[in-house]
Amino acid sequence: MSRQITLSKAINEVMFEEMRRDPSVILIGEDVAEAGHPFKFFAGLVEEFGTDRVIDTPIAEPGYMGIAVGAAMTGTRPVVDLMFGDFLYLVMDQLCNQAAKAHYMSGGKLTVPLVVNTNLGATRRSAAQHSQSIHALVAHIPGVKVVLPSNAHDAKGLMKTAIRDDNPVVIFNDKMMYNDKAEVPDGELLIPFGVANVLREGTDITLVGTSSMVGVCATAAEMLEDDGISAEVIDPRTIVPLDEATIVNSVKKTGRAIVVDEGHQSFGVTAEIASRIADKAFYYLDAPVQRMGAMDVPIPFSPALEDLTVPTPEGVADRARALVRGEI
Amino acid sequence: MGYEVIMPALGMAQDTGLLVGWLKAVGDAVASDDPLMEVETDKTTMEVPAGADGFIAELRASVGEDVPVGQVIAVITAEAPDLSAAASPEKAPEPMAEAPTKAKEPSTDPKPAPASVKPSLDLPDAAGRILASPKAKRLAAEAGLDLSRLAETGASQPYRAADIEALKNLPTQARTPDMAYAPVASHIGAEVAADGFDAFVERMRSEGGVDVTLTQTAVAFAAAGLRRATGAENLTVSAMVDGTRMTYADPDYLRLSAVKGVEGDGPSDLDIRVLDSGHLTSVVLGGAIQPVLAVSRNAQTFHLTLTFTEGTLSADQAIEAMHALTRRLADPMLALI
Repeated sequence: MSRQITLSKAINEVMFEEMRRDPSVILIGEDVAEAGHPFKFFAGLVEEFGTDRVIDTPIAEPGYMGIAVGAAMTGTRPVVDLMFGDFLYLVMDQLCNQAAKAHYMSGGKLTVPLVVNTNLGATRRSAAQHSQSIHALVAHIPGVKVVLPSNAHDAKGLMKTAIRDDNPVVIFNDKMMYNDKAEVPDGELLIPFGVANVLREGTDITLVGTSSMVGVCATAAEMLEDDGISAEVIDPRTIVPLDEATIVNSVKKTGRAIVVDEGHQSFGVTAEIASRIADKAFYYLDAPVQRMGAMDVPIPFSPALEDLTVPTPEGVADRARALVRGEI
Repeated sequence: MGYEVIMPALGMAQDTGLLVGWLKAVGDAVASDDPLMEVETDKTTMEVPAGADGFIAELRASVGEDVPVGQVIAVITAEAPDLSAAASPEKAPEPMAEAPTKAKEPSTDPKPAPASVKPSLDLPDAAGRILASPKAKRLAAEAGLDLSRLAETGASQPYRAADIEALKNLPTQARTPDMAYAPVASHIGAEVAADGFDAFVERMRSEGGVDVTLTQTAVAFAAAGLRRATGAENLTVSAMVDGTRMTYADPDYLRLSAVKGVEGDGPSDLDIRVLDSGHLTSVVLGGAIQPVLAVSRNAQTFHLTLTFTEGTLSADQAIEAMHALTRRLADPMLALI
């Protein structure tokens, strides 16, 4: 049975189902137990699984991330909640120096089946330290998988796959999407990593969007339809591993591409994907690959300014029209 | 303004051509086919014809100059130029002194002013280079088309894939000399295990009482492959059968045993040579007029070679046609179902 539920509810279902299925799954983070998390996706867990498996921590991210990495090395499968993706800066050593390298440095004796549940995304009026999209920082580190769900359905299927993965996995949900509903199956749903979702097929231009930008690209594609421009929309769903073949084959067909991601534009996800397109589809390109990311500025608190810093459907559609007309 | 002669692209990766010598002087009458200049590229020297009837009005490049492809190097007008007015002061006063067959060197001729040589370019830094998207360049190369001709149409650079359509439709007489683009045959080879075909023939014989030949099968399956690759509505395939050329109209629409064909030398979209002797395994035939498919058999393996030129089939189409053909030949029963 499938029904419409929010992304928050999807995360909640994953935790209930996985903690029932596997007693080694535990949850660690700030306000995850008694408060059920500010975004409410852990409501009810502590009542069923108790404080041994649903562990409230002090406001000390490096400390509890260290605890989780150690716990993962020694037989549990921790899900660590980082309330805002911006707090990743605090746990870089635990995540990137320890968790990402333990399997390699122990000669394969240790695994770190750790899931970090966190978020990205601006326009929530949360100011510069709670609005960043810094998934590219983690994607840069070998040994960490990076998951970017774009809807409640994928959030459920990808998080279940993450919990069962023996490697560190960081899941970034768009914090503006927690209350968005989608059709989600009741019970088991596993979505493999590295398999892109083609939301819509098209012949004139490929729009590659991640996370929050998938919806932006889909809306842009609808606008372009009115201009007679047929856009293909691709959601990679995971950027590590990345489904390069689906993207490259699409661009071979359309000859044009825009890559849209909410991270800062410079040195980020858009650059990586655009570069792979240029490498693998060069002789099929009829126009330069375009990139659209957040402006290279701290996310402003001012709502009027904040909205200007991230790509919009109108902006993507405008760029697409210019590409198709040969103006770029 | 008269007809503008541009430096032609004589080689695939050529950016410039070295002007070895002018074979005509300003004021000379020329016919379209008359050699106008000698150009060196890729270590060979070629005579390039004028391309239009008339009189040489201007020679804009000096001997020994490396001229960017696409740059205007001479102008031919219908009327004889007024030399007293046209001769610029710095030009040597001996424009008609030399015999036209001797390389003439207007040594004091100034370098052409950059602004005047690429009026159709809207990119100020193009500097005589042809700017085109990678896709447009690939499509032009596959079709054996000369991108520099697009400059004649006034299309603005960089050229895109859509411009290649316009290039394809340019009248052929306006083509710049392009002896380097003489059709070069391409080949695609394939091997297919013969057991699927043998089992199929045996089954047709025992269960249907029908004898199906390799020629019938090859004709029908090759037509199906070609139709899939090109999307053609009507297809004619020809084949040599017992020394007679047979033509088959849309053979892939018939039952295999009904693929008979009629005698005739008419044009066909694909010529098939079935070599039954069992010894020939590699054959490369023509391909300039229509693609040629050679089918031979060596014990348990069919060897197929498709020969074609860019004018008759694109590489992508040829590969797709061969894919479709080999898939069918490997398992004819499945193909017919």
